[in-house]
Amino acid sequence: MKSTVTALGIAFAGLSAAQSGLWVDLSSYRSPGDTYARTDAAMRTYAINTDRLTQLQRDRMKAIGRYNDRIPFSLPATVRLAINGRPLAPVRRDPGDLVLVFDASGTYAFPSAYRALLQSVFDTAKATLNVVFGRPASGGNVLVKNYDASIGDRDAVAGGYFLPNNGSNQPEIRFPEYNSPEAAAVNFLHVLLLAYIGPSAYGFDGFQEGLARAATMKVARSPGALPGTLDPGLIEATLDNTYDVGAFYDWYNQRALGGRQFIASNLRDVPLPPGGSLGGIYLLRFQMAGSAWQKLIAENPGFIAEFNRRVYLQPGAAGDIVALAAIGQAALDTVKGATNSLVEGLSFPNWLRRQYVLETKDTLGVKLLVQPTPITSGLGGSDYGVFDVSATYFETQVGGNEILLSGLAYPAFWDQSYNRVFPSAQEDQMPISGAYGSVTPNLPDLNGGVPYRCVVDIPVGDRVARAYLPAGSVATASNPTPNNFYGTVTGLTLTSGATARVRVMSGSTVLAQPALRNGSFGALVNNASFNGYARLKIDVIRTISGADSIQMTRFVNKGPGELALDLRVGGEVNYTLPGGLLKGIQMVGLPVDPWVSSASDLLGLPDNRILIARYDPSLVTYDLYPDTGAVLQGHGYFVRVDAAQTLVVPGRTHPGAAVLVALKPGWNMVTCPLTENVETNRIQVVRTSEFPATYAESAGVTLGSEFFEFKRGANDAASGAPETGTMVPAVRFEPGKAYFVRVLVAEGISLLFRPTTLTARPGPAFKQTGWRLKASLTVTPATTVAVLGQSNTGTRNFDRREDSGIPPRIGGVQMYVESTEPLYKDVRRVNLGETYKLRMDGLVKDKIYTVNLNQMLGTAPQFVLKDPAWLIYRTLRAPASYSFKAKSTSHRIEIQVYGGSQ
Amino acid sequence: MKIRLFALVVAALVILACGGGGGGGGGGQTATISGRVLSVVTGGATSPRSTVTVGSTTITTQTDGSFEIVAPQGTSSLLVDTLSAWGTFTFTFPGASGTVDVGDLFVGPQKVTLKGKVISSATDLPIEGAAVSFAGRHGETGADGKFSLANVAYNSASQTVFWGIAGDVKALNFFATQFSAQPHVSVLGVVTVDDIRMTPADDINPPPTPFNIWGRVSPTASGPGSIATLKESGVPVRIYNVGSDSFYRFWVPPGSYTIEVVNGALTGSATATLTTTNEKIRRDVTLN
Repeated sequence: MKSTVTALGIAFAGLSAAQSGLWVDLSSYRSPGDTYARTDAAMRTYAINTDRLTQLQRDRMKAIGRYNDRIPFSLPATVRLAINGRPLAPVRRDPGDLVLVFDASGTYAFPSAYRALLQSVFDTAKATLNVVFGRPASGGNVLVKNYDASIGDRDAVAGGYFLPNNGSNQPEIRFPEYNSPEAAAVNFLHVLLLAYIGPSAYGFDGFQEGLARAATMKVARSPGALPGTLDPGLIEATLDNTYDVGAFYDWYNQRALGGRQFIASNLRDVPLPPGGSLGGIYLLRFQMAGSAWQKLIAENPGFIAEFNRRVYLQPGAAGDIVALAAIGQAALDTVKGATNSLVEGLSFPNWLRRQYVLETKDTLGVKLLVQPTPITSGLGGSDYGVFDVSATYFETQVGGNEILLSGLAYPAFWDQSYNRVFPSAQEDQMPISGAYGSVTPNLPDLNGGVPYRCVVDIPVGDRVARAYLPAGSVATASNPTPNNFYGTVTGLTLTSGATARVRVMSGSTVLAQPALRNGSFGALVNNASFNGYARLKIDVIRTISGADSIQMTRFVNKGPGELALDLRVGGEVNYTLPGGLLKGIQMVGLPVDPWVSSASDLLGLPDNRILIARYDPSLVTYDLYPDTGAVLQGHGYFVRVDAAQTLVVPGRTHPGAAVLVALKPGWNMVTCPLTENVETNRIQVVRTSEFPATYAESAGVTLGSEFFEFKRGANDAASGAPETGTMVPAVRFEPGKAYFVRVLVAEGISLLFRPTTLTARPGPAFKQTGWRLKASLTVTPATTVAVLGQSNTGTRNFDRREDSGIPPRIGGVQMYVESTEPLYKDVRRVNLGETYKLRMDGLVKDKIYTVNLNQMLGTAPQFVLKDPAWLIYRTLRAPASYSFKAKSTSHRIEIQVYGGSQ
Repeated sequence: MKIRLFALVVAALVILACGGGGGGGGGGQTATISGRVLSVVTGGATSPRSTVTVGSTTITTQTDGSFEIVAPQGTSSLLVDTLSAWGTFTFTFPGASGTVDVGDLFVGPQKVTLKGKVISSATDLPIEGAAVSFAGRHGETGADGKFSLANVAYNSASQTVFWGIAGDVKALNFFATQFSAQPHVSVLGVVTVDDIRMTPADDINPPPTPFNIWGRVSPTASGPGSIATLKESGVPVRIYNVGSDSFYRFWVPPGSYTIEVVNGALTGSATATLTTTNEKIRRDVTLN
């Protein structure tokens, strides 16, 4: 018998926004046994797939002592049924307590001792469950069945599931038999909470799973909330395995986590290929969702209960993120007893949009996440800053499907001054296969035992994922006892004699205030106010001549255990695009990382009015929105809007830090990733695992010798706005503007943009010889330019060092030199007779145009200008000009110089 | 575990001129051939250590699988004996001269044929003559872009190492690229990898500005100089001066449009309905 398992988004589009979870179509209802067989099969596929998709991450965590593989892996779930495409309505009763109903005997009965354990877990935990999560949305009987007997592979199928309607109008839990009573207790709590939500399920995994997981952790850790026979250590180990990553929440809070559904349908509902795809972001998404809500209840223990209560009263809100944000603020106000209450110092909607894992809109495109974890055990020798650095690389496609990608990254490690650090040859490359890659650098002791902030950039294709790591501040071979409070600070300027420290407080009690050294800090905090659930105030304090000044304050909530922080002084901004968006077409980019991923939210426009395009040199064509994915810092885009509008983008920056932008081979659309102008002498070019080069050294070698910006053309007579334009060479990167940069090497390169606060690293400029002549054609408001000339080293062929191609042609007026390819700059060998064919496209027939010819470098020789269309010959010397009437949309003139002239 | 496949093709092709077959010598001149013999089961050196033979010279690999062997100039093959049930593997390469690194030579319990196709990312057309390397095996694509590498080491029990091997592809006028066999497994002794897309390096025909409604105006002689007007509900929303390529291009939001093209007394029109912002519609227009 073949079961049909499908994603709600495909088969039940009408309800897809309403409820998360797995869907099973029974095709035609036959019997409870048939239902069990089908749902068990769906859950078996889900469990095998999730086991496989998380294997590499779990193996990696086990290898560094952060995963106990003796505890069964599980991801409990909600399974919903449909018959012939029609979803079964969940059983809805009046709110009230649940009553668990076990089979006394038969196929689905538990052994009596195990049944007693489950009942005991519920009875003991019920009061705490009700306090933490609120009373069940729908009370009454819930069947609890043993499905252990019907499943073959124990390890792959551990974890229970909840059916809001089992096909017989009963809610039902199906649960396996665990050898470990602690694992049974934790997972049973989780499934019970899914039953608590019952018919009022959320539309997004971030809420449905996140809230249940945060509450599971809270209840499991509450004294007396579980039977006293259970081992608290093993309960905590179960939570550490698959629930709690709160310690590293700051580090892992990245855009790639977001989306309506944590495991894409194509990876969840159908069997994966033999051998399987072992990588993926999937366990981390579940962990981060629970850890996000854990931060909220650390400060407001009653929040989830109040939040759920309000959502149960407003069923339509469960799949409406705007409504959920409003309910969240109302719930926060209620539990705090005050209006406009805050969590971690932010209103609920502002807090919500900073948690990428709770972003509920799917955005398409390639995504990259970096996941660093400190290694603190078994240190020896020169171990100073040992981290596991994993990367996940995948693509979200239309419909929410995710494709696990492969690639090769060249991790770049930077010290506090952005000098490239090479930990060892093993870390020079990070092969990514099936979405997953990792390295284990030992960040070296660079400062005689003084810690430092080490930046890790993982560039793959045109994506970069960054982590700030506190080298020497967690545990070292000479100081092996791990600190439990550590992190980095960026954006703090310390003049000579100034010092800084990071103060952590609980209420008015100072728990620790470690010194900030080279952007890194760490301390071992032995205080109950820190070690458990805590609401902390973090101050970055600068001291000059004995006077303290607080440079930034953050409120951070945490669960039990250590805490890693990424603190950015002035790192949150509301960036205003200079001049705003203009009516018509333009080329723009952002120097900030927007909180929102959706371009619709970013621009405030409906999806069907958004015209965004980004050139993909791999495909040699433009991606059009929504294929462009999220608008990312450092990426350039064409944007076309119907009306001028201001654009204010809330997001975060890398204050005072150099920022890396990754480029693919070919033409790339790049923007300045800093909020200041950046000249090319403050850009370093990073190629694979080589020592960075200056821009001047790289121009013509790994990069095109010129880069270009877009000048808007004349207004389209119909739209009243520019719809085309001209590419002109640029001399600097300005925030808000985008540029075409050409990469000449197969492995791509990255550009490191350094702010003025960092020491510039100018390199020797390429010395130009001979002469250059600039030909320009102005068609208001834009001017198009081409350069021709001769030098000691130029040739008639394309010389990377001296010639420059034009970027993708823009449809407006464009001048170029016809050569082996269209050239913006064509430099040939000096003293040879040459003819340069200057072509102009995008002209209007019968209109008069004027070409100006001016000296740029040296002294251009006398030349003959020929206009074949009008049979005109003129002998000229720059500066000179020539006017002609266009006979068609294209026109060509020739510039002929004689040999031996200089 | 990290697996590195060191590219050898370029270096090897450079020395092709030295020619010669397996044992050919050039007046007593010698070449030094280095590389590593790795297990497709573990990704590390074989156990026991393998031997490498060229002509009458046999050496044992180092503990990390590496080897360096002096051979007559022009040598183009070597024999790896795993000294285990895996048996022997013969690897071929362009005739050696000077010092040549033949990269990582994988051996294992099974041998498969690796098949695939190399295409241009710009056109999806096959690329002929692309040099493909994988796990120490080398081949070239045919006119259909397809390649076939025989005797590639394989481990049917686990593909983890096999999938971690980075294959190399090089072709004239394209940026070199790498590929992985993941997630494919052997079917009847053949592993067929996904199409390998290569990016053109000679980007001589860059595209125009973004567009989603476009088309050619014909006859060809009448296209250039035409005026294309895009109308929505009868109202002009864009005007395009058709250039020498005879194409018009518009970038507009979803909607139902009419394209009207005029060149003197000649006119033509077409309609297009865009349903999504990322849809691209081509409508050629003939002037009459």
